[in-house]
Amino acid sequence: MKRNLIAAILAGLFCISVFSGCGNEKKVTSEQNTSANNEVVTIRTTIQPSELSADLIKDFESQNKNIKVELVGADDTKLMAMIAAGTAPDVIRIRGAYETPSYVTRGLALNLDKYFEKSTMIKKDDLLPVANVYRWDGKNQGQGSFYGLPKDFSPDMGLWINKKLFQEAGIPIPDPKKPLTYEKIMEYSKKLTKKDSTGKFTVYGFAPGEGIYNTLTSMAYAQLNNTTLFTDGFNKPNFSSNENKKIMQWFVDFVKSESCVSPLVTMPDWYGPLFAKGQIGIVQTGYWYSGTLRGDENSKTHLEDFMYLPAPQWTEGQKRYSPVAAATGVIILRQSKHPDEAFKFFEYFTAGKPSEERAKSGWGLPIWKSKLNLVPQSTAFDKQSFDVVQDEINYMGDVLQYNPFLYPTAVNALIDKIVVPVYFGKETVDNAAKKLDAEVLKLINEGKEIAGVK
Amino acid sequence: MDNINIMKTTKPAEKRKPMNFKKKEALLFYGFISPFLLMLVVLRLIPFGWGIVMSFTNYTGFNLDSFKFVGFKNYIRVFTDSYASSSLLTTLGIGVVIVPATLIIALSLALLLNNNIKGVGIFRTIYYFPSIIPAVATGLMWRMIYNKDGGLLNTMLAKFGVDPINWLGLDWCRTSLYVYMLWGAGGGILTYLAALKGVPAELYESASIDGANSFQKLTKITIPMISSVIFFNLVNGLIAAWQIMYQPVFLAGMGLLSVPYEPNYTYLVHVYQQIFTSQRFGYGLAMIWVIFALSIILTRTTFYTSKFWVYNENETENIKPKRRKGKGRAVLNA
Repeated sequence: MKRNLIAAILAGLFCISVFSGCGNEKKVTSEQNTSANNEVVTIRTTIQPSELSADLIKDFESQNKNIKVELVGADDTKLMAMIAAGTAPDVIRIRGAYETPSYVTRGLALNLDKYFEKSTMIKKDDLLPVANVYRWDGKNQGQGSFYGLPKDFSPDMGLWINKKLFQEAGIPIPDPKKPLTYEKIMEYSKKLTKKDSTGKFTVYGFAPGEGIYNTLTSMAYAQLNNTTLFTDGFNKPNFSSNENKKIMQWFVDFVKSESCVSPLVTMPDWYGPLFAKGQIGIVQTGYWYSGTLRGDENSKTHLEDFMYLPAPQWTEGQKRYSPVAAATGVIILRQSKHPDEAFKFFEYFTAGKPSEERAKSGWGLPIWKSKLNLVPQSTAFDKQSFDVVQDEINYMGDVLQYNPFLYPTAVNALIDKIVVPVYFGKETVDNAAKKLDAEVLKLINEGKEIAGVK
Repeated sequence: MDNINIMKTTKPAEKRKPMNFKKKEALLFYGFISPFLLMLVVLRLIPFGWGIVMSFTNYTGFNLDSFKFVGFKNYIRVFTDSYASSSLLTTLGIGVVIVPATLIIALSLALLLNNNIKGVGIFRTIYYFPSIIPAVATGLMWRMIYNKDGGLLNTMLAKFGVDPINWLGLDWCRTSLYVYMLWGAGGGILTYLAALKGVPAELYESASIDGANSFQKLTKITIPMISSVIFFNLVNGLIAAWQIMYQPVFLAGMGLLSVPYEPNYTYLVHVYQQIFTSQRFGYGLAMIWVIFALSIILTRTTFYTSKFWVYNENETENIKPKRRKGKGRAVLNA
């Protein structure tokens, strides 16, 4: 019996050690470390490994002996769970163009004004206007205090075209100084689309890089048309206005024509490799995509076949606007235990060596006027695309006015539920717009309650 | 030192009373199950209770400044949210097809695989295989099969002159989901095979002598004899049917935030959307408790019906323990 008892105790201890071993991963969090007595502080960030190499981390750590950097992989779902559990990283990667207001109004973003005042690396005069997407004055995005900075940016509604496919379809090569209209895009897309004898697509006419009708595109397209998705100071959605319904109708018509990538026309892969292979005529996406084309085996040898065009317009002669739809960058979590160390890392990432390396790679444009000359300009392809973006910078003044009480994923989920049936002919644009107004209004009211706004 | 000796001599050392068998057994029992109990309390019961508390609040993940109890507001909302009711109906619709179809397919496969023919082991492995592949991998695989452009299914159909079908689109996504889910029906064959092996051969022999055909043997002997295993699989299937989530989500896209089309928009998908896209933690948890209650009611109802159709060889349910007066020990009323 004694032997059995010992066996039981040993079994219990073994199990406990196994279970405790499961969670025994050494987690060095900023909470556990304190900088008060020169102890090493670990700054955790959701910046992706492709955006911050191990060498750059080493470089930063060698300059800041008391700071370690840990990259934490977290998608939206995981990040929300981490925030809710109080274990979120110190420096968070966000898509500033449409996430800044919601992070600030929910009290998650640290006001960086006092840090910017003291910083020797961040010079406000040197910032391009696109950095304003990380500003918020309590009512409007683009004004007031800084809460973060983009790592780089792109005019996201620009168009990449395959000149060879245009020629094969008998379409004249567009003038890169003159924006196409959306009407022309649909017309060209229909001409570019090709199928084989089995009905399989061999060329897709148009791929919307930012997705078909969604939170971002509906807002960007509305602002391109000099209108907005919200009225009454963000208190009411306005999907049912004639202008916004016209935009939704354009998407629906385009989707139903089966000449653009959509729920009716699905691709076996994302647009990146397919455009490089010459299987897509037009892609609406940012300048950053030039990096993919330069590196892809299927495109790098004949870059002259590709061309970048400015953001389209709804009507010719309309006031030009080139929205920055993402402006991916970083904020510092207001709840960070080590905001000073987090800011040191923040300024290194946004204004230091990483920002220069990004500019040289051509994967995005620098937010610093003084670094624009680092962008690749050695080939005809580089020059053409850079000429277009330099011109586009003049039309990026206004930031997208995203509703601070809404979280984009929630609106996207609603759009998927309500608008997709329209593509399949199960719902009308009128009804979908009305439903969206009703459902988004509920979300706005909840968002206001959370933010303590009446 | 002397005193100690005196003590030793005057008061003989009291012999430790040996632990009785029951105590030892109890200690041994709790020693072995203590890690499980610890896990149960820490990882199940505490979150369970916490979930109940949070379902009565307006918690959204980071609204600690305006956090408050909202009474039954979240529960009332479950019954007024049109998406909650439509997604519940969708779940029921899928369950009504999937649960019986899974039972029939698994039982049919088990009956086929119960024969002692050469190579039957390979088939048993093949049919059971889908249930051990990780869900993400199966989701990706089925998306590749169903893809309208270049998908395996459409490529095969094209050889017969059939135009590409949008299997993942609004019109076909429910059918695609049924096929995807029934593909894993072989998971139940293991328990059916075990039950089939337990049916006494003499019953079949007697039936043969009486002139019963195969169908009669199946309906009069096999199914009644394995009815307890059918019941077990039915209850498990019903509980799983309320929880259908990952299959529709993976067919809609590879991210957990992908929104399935209306025919596949199940109740748990709506719960997930409420919690992780809208940060309505309180409401999402209230939705979970409502489905939990419904699940309990249906399971209890199924248990109630079991007395009409489930055959138990040892009818233990009629043998009720009777307590002796004054003794804490139960004896069987044999």
